Amino acid sequence: MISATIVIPFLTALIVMAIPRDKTTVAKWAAAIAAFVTIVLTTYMFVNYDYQKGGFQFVEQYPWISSLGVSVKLGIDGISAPLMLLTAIVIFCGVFASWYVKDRPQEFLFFLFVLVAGVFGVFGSIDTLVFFFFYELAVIPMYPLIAIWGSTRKEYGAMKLTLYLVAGSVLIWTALLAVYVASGTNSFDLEVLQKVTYEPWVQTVFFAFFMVGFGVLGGLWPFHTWSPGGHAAAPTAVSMLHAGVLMKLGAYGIIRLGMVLLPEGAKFWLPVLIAIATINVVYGAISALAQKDFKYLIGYSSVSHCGYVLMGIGTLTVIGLNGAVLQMFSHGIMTALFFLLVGSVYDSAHTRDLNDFGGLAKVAPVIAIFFALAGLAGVGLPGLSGFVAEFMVLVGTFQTYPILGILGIIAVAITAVYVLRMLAKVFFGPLNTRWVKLPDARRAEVFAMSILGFFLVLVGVYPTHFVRVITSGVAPIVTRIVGAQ
Amino acid sequence: MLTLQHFLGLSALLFSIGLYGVLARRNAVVILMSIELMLNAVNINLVAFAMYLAPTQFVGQIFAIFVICIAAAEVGLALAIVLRIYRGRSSISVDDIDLMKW
Amino acid sequence: MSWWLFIPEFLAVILAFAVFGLDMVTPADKKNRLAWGGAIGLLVIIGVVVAYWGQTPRLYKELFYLDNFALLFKVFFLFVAVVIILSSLDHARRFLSHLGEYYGLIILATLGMMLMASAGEMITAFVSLELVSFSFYVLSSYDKNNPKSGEAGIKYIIIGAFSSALMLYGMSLIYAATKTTTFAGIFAALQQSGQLDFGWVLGIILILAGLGFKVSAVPFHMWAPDVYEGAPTPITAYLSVASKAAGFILLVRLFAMAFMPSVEAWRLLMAILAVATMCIGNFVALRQVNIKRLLAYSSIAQAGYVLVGVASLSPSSPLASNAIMLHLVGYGLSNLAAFVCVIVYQNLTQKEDIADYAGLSRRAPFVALAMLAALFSLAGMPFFVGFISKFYLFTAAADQGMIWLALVAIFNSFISLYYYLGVVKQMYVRSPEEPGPLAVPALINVILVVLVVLVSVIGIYPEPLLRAIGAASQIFIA
Repeated sequence: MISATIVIPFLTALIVMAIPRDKTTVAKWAAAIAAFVTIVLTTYMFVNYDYQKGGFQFVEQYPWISSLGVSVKLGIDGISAPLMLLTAIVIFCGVFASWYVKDRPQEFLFFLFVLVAGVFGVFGSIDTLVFFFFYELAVIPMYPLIAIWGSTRKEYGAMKLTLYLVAGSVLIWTALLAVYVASGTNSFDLEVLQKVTYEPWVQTVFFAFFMVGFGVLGGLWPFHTWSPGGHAAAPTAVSMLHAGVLMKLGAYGIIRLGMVLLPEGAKFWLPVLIAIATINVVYGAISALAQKDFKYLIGYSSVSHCGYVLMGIGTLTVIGLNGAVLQMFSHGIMTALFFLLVGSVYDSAHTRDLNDFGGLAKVAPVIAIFFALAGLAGVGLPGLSGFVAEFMVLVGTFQTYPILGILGIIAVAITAVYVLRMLAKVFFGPLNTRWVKLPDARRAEVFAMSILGFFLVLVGVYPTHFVRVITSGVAPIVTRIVGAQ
Repeated sequence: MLTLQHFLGLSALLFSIGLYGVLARRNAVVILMSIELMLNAVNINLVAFAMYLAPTQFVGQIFAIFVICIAAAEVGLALAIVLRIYRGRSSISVDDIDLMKW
Repeated sequence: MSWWLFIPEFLAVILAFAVFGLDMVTPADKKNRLAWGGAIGLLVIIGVVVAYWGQTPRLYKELFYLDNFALLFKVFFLFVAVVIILSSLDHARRFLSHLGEYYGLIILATLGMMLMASAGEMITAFVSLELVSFSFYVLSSYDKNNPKSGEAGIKYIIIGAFSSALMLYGMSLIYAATKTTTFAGIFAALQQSGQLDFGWVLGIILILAGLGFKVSAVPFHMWAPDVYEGAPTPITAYLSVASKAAGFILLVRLFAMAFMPSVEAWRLLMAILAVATMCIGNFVALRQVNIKRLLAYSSIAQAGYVLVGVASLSPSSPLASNAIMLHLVGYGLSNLAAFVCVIVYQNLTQKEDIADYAGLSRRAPFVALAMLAALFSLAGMPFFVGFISKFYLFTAAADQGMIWLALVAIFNSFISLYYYLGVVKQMYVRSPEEPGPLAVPALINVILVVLVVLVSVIGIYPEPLLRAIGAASQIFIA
């Protein structure tokens, strides 16, 4: 099941490349169908995940490198199940978002699907070497995707992003090797490695490695600087996948490798993490306030929202971590919708300067409606996904660090300011005469927007199954670190 | 009375002279001659060790013969290449062989 | 007499001289036949070599090992030689003269490497090493119309002869201490004495310096960029792949089979050498403009990674020797693919600067894709063999308690990504100066397909190769 979700994007990538270059529509439909199949598979796994049993389910194992004790061991637990689903949704919508790519669309889809295969692989693997294999695989296609199909300062943005992320993986790789050696188990299997109790210095030093290494991808301040520029440079579908899914790999890695393998280290470092995460939240929100470029604004809001994820992790409470994982899902959907909308506007308007717009709601009502939806989810309006997630994170924070919780609330207020101001500037007020002929979202885009919007509402009104599944994943981790609550 | 140390001293001296020549001289042919000195130092070493340490075996001497052969071939080849360079630019100073740097 | 152990080598000698001889009766415009004949002959020899696989190592008075380790690399060298000969066809016709000797010398160099892989004794090792070096001295100065080629030849031969002298002096000191030249004898003597005196240490250092030249380890790397740039490109490819691997084979055999008892004494030295080699190679590569020089520095850096493996050798664990072999093969195939792209591009456009690769993905999509795969593999990206082999190498280092060395190596691997991406950027992002597709010969496409498939198949599923490597590693385990 999991192997299928990884292999299907791979095969799709190859199939798309094999289709003749003048039959781009066929390639796009092939990609869309493949993405839909992954949605079906991940939904099936998510719905059928037995949260009462917990642990890794749908486990598969294939021999790989026997002399290093590595086998391809796949499985999902309560944390990765929703994230697999998220990935499938975003890539499905991403295919439709890139429906109108003109320049070498097949190569574009090729890299996109390799990236997605990597992301599925990261969420689905239990063996740490396999995890790292897919992690690198997910990072690398970003370079061609942004450098070839991007826009603003694309070469610079792509190079900076790639180097930052690979620099992070230097730390991750080193820490993995250190854990492998320190365990003395001659195995890279997470379930074997986590049974070992590591020496205190290994725990503290290498948890920091994991935290910073994954933190770079997770948008951790001050290593976030690649993110807004990278998003601004990237084409729509890539921004969606990147902010929506790839950045979640960072936080996921901190939980999956850092906290699971090195609980003592986590205990030592998580107060630091939550402090930095608060900076993330506040700094990201304030920076977003100052942006004039549409994509930069969303990029900084991503930094801010990913801060909530890290904050939730830092609380070390079940509810906080639960909120963190749910926020990953919710923000993934929300930010994908944001970037899809911005991309749609940019494609026809060819500018992203907020001050250039005005009154777009009159000419592009569909975009305006979805923008309001995403914006309100970002603000945390009850009934939308953002509310549930941020609420849980903040509850967790108030239980442990009330002062940081207050800062978190203030950041929500700032978020409200910049989101509403953006809505007002762009969509309401007098119509800027330049845009009288601005077309509304195209059919494929509307389709993608509706799906994302649907999930925003779904999680907002019916988070129960999500919360149950996630709890089954995070509770054992928290228990292991702080003891039973 | 000659001891092993005498031979080793001579060989070390020759080797050092050769090493100095390779590093300090700029004429390609002189550099090649210096390398010959180093190789001959090796030969003295090998034969002396064979004589004093393992007089019943001939490994050292055999090794020395191989070294002599190969050294001769090496110089022949090197001089051919030097000749080629000289035809091209009328100089065999290694300072002038500078088309490529860093 | 176990003369039959030499059959592959005999065949190689016959093949080389057959090419030399037939050259005289082959008309000037039919020299490609010699290349095809040579390549087919080498393929036959591969078959012969494979037939020896898996038998218990037979010794010819410990002079000559025919163990799996030697066989594996004989096959590798022969395969590389075939690729080099076939990808030389156009290049040689366009830029070189005396093609019969050219192909014959490539086969002779291969013969030297095959002997080097089997050498179990210092004289044999030295003679076979010189056979390789001599062939390359001639080959690297083969392009008579290019003054850089002559310059490459003179630099190579002077530095090569100098390094041989150093190594020989070291060997004479080792001989003095052990009264033997066989690796097994040295091992036994070292185990007995336990203590290292001055002669020993100096001997090991000098041998390391001599071999360091062959594998272009810092600080003995200065020749490599110049020779790589000046030599005909197929020869550069052969130098950087096979000659380097052969040097490492000898280094590993010498240090793992002869000097192993004193491993704690040279481990740190080797680690420092590895760090210096990686760092200098990668940092200088950052500012190269010529693609051959870039690949030269990148191959210096790759030698540094292999040295990480050599520093992690241990008598009790096969991890390091497995990793070295995997990386040598993996790096070799990736680098070969990259060089085949450089060769074909040079043939078609006479250009060899990185900036000249602008827009290659539009002019020759498959060549660009192969180059992309090769460079990503060299950078250690997953899906390609470079990832697995580097992971293996650094695991071996960490396993010997040198996590710091692993960190330095991983960091270097990260640095290298920058300049590899620089080439990718030119090929995929920039627009070509002169548009229009390039007519890539079908043979080159076939070679590239084979190499790219190997690089990615081993990268995804290395187990079959690793099983062979594991069998080859047996000899290093006490």
